[in-house]
Formats: sequence, structure tokens, C-alpha cells
Amino acid sequence: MTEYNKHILKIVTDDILDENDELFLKEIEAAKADPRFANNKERDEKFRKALDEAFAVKKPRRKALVRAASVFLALILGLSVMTITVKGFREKLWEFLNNLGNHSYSSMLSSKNSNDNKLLEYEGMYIPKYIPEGYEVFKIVNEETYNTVKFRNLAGNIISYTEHTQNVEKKFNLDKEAYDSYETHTIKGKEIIITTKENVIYLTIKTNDAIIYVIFNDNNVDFLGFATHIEKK
Amino acid sequence: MKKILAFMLSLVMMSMCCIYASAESNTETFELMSDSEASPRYTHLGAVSAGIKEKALGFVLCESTYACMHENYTFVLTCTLQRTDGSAAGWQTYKTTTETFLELGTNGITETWFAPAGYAYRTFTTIVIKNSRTGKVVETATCDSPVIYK
Repeated sequence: MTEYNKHILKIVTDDILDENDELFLKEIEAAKADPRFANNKERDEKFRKALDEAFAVKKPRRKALVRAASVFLALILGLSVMTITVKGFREKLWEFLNNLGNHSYSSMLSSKNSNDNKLLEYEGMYIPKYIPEGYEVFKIVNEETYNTVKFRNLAGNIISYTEHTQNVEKKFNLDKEAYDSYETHTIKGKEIIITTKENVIYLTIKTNDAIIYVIFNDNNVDFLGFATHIEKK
Repeated sequence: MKKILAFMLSLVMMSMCCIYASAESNTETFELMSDSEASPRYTHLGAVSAGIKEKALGFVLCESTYACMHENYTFVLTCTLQRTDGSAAGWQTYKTTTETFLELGTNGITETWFAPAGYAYRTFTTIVIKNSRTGKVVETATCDSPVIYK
């Protein structure tokens, strides 16, 4: 665009703006005379409030916060009191925390494990739901008065699980002396006696309706985990 | 506000009571099912059992088990049904069966025999552990079941 053209364009646009200014001023004067646009404090206030509400940043409600805090506080308080005073609750909590941390229990019956199908043949009232890694069922004996399932790993180590039922007059003699170690635990309300002798671990679990007797000749097995996950079918 | 707090606390207290009650009911005291012998001392064995159960039509079921996890041994298990009529002769062998095991863990025998009335019966378990190579007996243990009267 040449200098001349630019100059002509400026003259034309200035004329248009002048004309618009005049029109605008006329409109303002007309509006001032119109009673609809006269000053009205009440209406202005309403309009301002509506604007404030529309654009206000919503503040969190204090009441709701206090309620949530009190509920949370009461829960914490209740849980703490229960943890301190109730033995059963402590045990359940400990069990829960143990389960959270221990991923080796992935070989439980719920998983797709080759032991699952084999254990279906087992007719005992209780069943081990945690089978240590590498162990496979190799023998199941179902008798009227006792049931046995045996697991074996590639190294030839064996876990022998037997359930002596209460439907028979039975004397069950346990070796009660000359153990290398002897300890008792209460898990899920069941008394568990753990003894070791010459690198063999013996678990005796007493329930209402059975004596469960488990023997391990593998020290690396989590036998307490095994005992914890013996459950009623 | 105070009302809400009081309500919440009472709820927590109630739930505590419920959980406490259920926890208490789970921690039952276990009693041995049978009169176990006083402190048997085994060298290789973990446990020995003897059981007897009355069945229909005059039969009894006898059970003998043992548990051992030591290798290189042969286990000879005998399950005997003994009976007595209360005379001075005492317990007499009425029926018996023997089985040999090589497998580790718990093994057992169960047998059903006819047991005429007029006697007291019990199962008598005998386990003999032999060295598989030499045949030498390394341990022998017995266990007798509770008595049933017919």
C-alpha cells in the first residue's frame, strides 16, 4: 500500500468514527432521559448480589468439615481402644496386616493352582488354604476317623497334614518331651502347638471338632502361615 | 454438634461391645478329645493314635495311626481289636491286622470287624520302626484306645 493510499484510508476511517461518536453520544443522551435507566439503588444491589453469587469461589462448609472430623476422631478413638483392650480384635488386626504384606499367599486355593483340583478329593472338615510354593499334593487318604493329605516339593520335602475327627473314641498320644523347641500360639481362636525335633516341625492344632496334626521336614516353609490358613471347608 | 458427637461415640461404643463379644466367643478353650497318655517319650515318632467306633449290626471300626518324618526306616503298624469279659485273663486279642509303610508323614489302618455283645472292646496300636538297611528295630510304641462296652 502506497503512502497516498494510506492517507486516503485514514481520512475515510476518521470520518466513519466521527459519525459513530455522534450517534453514540446521542444514544447516551436519550438513555439519560429514559426513566428505565434512572439510578435505582435497590436494583443495583440485587444485580451485584447476583453477580457475587454467580462468580463467588465456593468456600468449604465449616459444619460439614467439623462433622467429618468428629466422625474420623470417634473412629480412631474406637479402634485404638479396641486394639488396646480386645485380644480378639488385636489378633484379627494383626492377621489382616500380615495378609496385606505377605504376597506368598498368592498360591491360596482361590488362585488357579494345580493343587486346587487335587484337593477337591479331600473330604476333611478343614483344609489348608495356603500351600507353600513348589509343593504339590501327592497323596490323599479319606477315612471315616481321619483324613490325610500329603504335599511334596521337587527337593523331596514333605508336608503331612492330618485331621483326626472327633466322631470316634480316640486316644491321640503326642510326643510331649525331648523337643528342641516348644511354643504355643492362639490364631483365630485355635490353640496351636509348634514343636521342633531333629529338624522336623510339628504343628498340633486343636479345634472344637478335630485335632489337626501337620509335620514339615523343611525348615524354610512358613509353617505359621500354613497354620493360619487352615480353614473350615 | 454435641448431639452428633454423642451419637457417634455411642455408636462406636456399641460396635466395640459387639466386636468384643464376638471375639470372646471365638476364643474357646479346647479340651482334648480323649484321655491322652501322660507325656509319652518317642525317639523318632511324632504321634500315635488308637480309635474305636461302634457301628451298626454289631460291627466296630478300629483305627491305628502313627506319624513319623524320619527317612530310611520301615514302619510296621499293627491294629488289634482287643476284648475282655472282665475275667482275670484281661485283654485278649480278638482280631488283628498288620501293614508295612515306607512313606513319611501320618499313615494308618482302619478296619471294621464284627464284635459280639457281652465284652468290652478297645483298639490296641503297635508301631515298630526298623532300620530299612539292617532290619534292626529302632523304636517300638503302643497306644490303646478308650473302651467301649457291648
